[in-house]
Amino acid sequence: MAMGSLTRKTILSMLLFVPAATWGQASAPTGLSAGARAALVQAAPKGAPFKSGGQTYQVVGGLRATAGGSATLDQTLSAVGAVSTDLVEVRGPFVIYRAPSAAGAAPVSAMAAAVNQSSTLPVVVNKRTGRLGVAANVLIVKLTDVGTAAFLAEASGLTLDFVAERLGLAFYTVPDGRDIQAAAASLARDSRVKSAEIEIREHFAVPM
Amino acid sequence: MNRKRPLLPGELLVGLFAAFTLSACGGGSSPPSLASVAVGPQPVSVVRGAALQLQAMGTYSDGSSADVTTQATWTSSVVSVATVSSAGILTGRAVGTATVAAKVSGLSGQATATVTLPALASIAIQPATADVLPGEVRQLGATATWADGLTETVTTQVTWTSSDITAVTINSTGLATALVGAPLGNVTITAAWNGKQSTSTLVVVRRVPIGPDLSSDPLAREQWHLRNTGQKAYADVGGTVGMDLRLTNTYRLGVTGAGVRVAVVDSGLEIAHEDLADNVVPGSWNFVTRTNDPSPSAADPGGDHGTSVAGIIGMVYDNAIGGMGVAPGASLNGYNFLATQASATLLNLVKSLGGSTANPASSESWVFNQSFGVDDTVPSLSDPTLEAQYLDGVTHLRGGKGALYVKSAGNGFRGFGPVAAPADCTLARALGVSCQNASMDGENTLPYNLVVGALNADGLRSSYSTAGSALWVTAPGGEFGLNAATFGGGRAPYAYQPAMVTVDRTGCAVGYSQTGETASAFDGGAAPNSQCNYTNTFNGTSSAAPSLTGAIALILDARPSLTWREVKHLLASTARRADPAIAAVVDASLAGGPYVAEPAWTVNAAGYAFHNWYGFGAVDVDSAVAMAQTLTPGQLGTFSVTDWVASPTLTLPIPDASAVGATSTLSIPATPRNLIIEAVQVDVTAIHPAPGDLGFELVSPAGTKSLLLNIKNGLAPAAGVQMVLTSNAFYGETASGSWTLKVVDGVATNVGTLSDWKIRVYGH
Repeated sequence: MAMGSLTRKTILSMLLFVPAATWGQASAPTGLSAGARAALVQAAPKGAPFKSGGQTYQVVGGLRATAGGSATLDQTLSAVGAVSTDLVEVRGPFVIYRAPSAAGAAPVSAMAAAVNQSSTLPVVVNKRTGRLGVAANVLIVKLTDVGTAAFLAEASGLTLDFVAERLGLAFYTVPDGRDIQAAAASLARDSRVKSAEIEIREHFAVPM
Repeated sequence: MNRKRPLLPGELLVGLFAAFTLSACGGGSSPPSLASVAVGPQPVSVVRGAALQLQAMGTYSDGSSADVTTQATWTSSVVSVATVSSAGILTGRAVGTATVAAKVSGLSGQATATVTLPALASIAIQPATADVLPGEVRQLGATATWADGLTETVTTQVTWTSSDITAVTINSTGLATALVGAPLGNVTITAAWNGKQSTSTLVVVRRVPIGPDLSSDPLAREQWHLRNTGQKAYADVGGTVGMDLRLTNTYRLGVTGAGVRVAVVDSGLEIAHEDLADNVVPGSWNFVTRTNDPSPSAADPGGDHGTSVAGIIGMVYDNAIGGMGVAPGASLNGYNFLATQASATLLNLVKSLGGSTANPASSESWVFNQSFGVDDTVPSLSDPTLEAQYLDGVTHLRGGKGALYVKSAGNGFRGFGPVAAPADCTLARALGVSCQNASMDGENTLPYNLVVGALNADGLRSSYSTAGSALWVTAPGGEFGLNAATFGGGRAPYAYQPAMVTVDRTGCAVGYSQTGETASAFDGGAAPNSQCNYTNTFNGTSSAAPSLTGAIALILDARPSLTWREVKHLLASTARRADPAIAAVVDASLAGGPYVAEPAWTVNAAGYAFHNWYGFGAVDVDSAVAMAQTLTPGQLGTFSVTDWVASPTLTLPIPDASAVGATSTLSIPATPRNLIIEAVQVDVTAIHPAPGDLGFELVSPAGTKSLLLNIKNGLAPAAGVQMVLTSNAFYGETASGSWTLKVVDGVATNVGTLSDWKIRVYGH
């Protein structure tokens, strides 16, 4: 609950003990039921497991995510060529939907891609919790020497966003059209890299 | 003849006449003639201010003598020292000597009169009390008051001493010097002389005293969290006198938070706000516009959470507008990591928490306010990258003394979760326990975060404040601040109790307070908020966090050398028990019960009291600042953490709806070091279709029980639960020995097993 955001609607919700609309979330519709969503994920093809933040994830085939922004849900879905019946879940700022091209045996794509100028990202499932998350096109790379961060970016075709020197970390953006999981795996094989993980957006910070 | 008259009261007569006589002729048959006159009693001595009856004795030619006092003409050679009346009464006027003479029939008798000091009645130091700044030199004076009521400056005669020469020294001439770096607070100066002594209190202060009652800021007196007088804070119902941050003495010392840079990691910060601008320093960052101005977007008319949070910390003091921050001298930076969906990334959070030296310059911050959290029915685990950043911050920032990270506990006592899948809090509300647990947000399980719950203006847990053993303390966060007249009546009573008075976005077209807002008259633009630049309905643990952040800024201003762990220690050691008589919450429905679903205050083996709703209690800034002055640096030793100690796979059945529960024990070895506990983490995995049924308890080797997660919580239905639960309730105990985990299933029907668990301890 964004307790600071005391609109009349928020206050009413809180006093009725019903959570108010969380920051960055659409209010309705909310997509598939938990059961239907679980069944969908269970049936969907999945990519190879990978680790991020101590958790194990798999890319879920046929599902994509796009950031909602200030647009309505229908507008957001429409922008990526989907309709309301494609909606799977709203997770934080992301709208998770069945990609129109995914009918039937959908491919498992870990690619960051633009659809009609809207960025879309792979959807992952947390093997422990069964919950969906979004694979951001950001790699968190632990380096043996942060001085090599820029060189690695150039060599890998990635954009170096930031180097946290004391943490020994570099943050890279994977450009649209590249497979995020493959890019992480490629970096992880480099001797100058201790680890390379995809930033997974599964839990979302909200004002309290 | 003896013709002495009776002694006058108080007179000192010495009955010896000495040879101060003049001879005269005598003889024959004529009547005896006066031969000489003598003045007595000898020696002639009188204290100043006192009187002495002198006597003139005539000696006659026949050898006889007679008292001729009344015939004599009395004189004094130095009337400023002593005077003699016509009746022969000598009065001491000043210390010294004078010759007194009695003249009879042409004959005189003389004596030397000595006037001595009377008894010393008292001495006094001027001034009796005074404020001194470190480095300041102040001349003290000592005055003696004698028995005759006269006074005398004795500054250089007395012996001067100081009760704390590490704070204030004083030389033999009464020159007091407050040393640079002197601890704040009272130092007693004593002047002693001739068996008498007096004391003066020198108060080593930072600056001139401040306070809501001294401020020209019109809203300051409604800010109950600063000084709770029972004011309504523009709500319908007032709070309880004294239920505030306890700031009186701290403000008296002139402690304002000056020199302490605070990062508001939030949605934004309106840096030009009339009551913030003077405290905003360069270094803020806007992740959306990539500029140094994190002010909220004009396109969004809503309130800006970060701006109101910043106001609680650092509204400008005594500028005759608005209110005042808890630490009104603190410097503010804003990093709008939460401004938009796109900006709320892990990278931007790392940059905001001290991981960046420019754009934003967060590495310069001393205290990080995080009025945000994960509001999810599936517990999150701490992110390793964030954990690394926190660890780096406490290790390297603030010159190696460590930054302070303050984080909201959550607002989920009665309900939480995303709108698409809110928690089912029916059972929690019915039982009266927290639906959300602070450890459900993985970052709250880290010892680097001071997790803070909220108090209302009655000094009790705010209705929404998330509970849990991961709390450190509680601080004012308020309730809802509504007005029934504008909003409507019929809500829960707490809805009309005070929220927090803080800043709001400028103007009546945007913000929490704006034209048409009905939460309160104040928020609708009624006087004294006609410009809608302030709000009285800000609340949440979002408000408790900046209350604590401000308190920490004050503590660091009072003693900047404190480490992050020393600040935590001070807060834990000085917090006062909120709601001290609160009873345990008991569930009588369980087999083998009744079961304590939420314990009352528990005192651990190290003497620290803890309650899951309040942590170590309500923040008491005055006590923390006072203790900060005497804390021995380094007493907490080196911070370290044990390895995880893990159970094997257990598959331990958890009895359904039973208080008996399933138990498992692990042992933490005493080697290589038996740590003194600062925090305990337990990682549990249980298989259960309704994990919200489950409660977890941990018993320390010393026998202290901490409820880690209450039964009937709001965890979403799932295959089970794997989460880290942190407890601060064992603070100060030793780590080695047997730790027992107990898992209780508090609701009938669904059953499950405890799969495994592990434990580790942070401490020194």
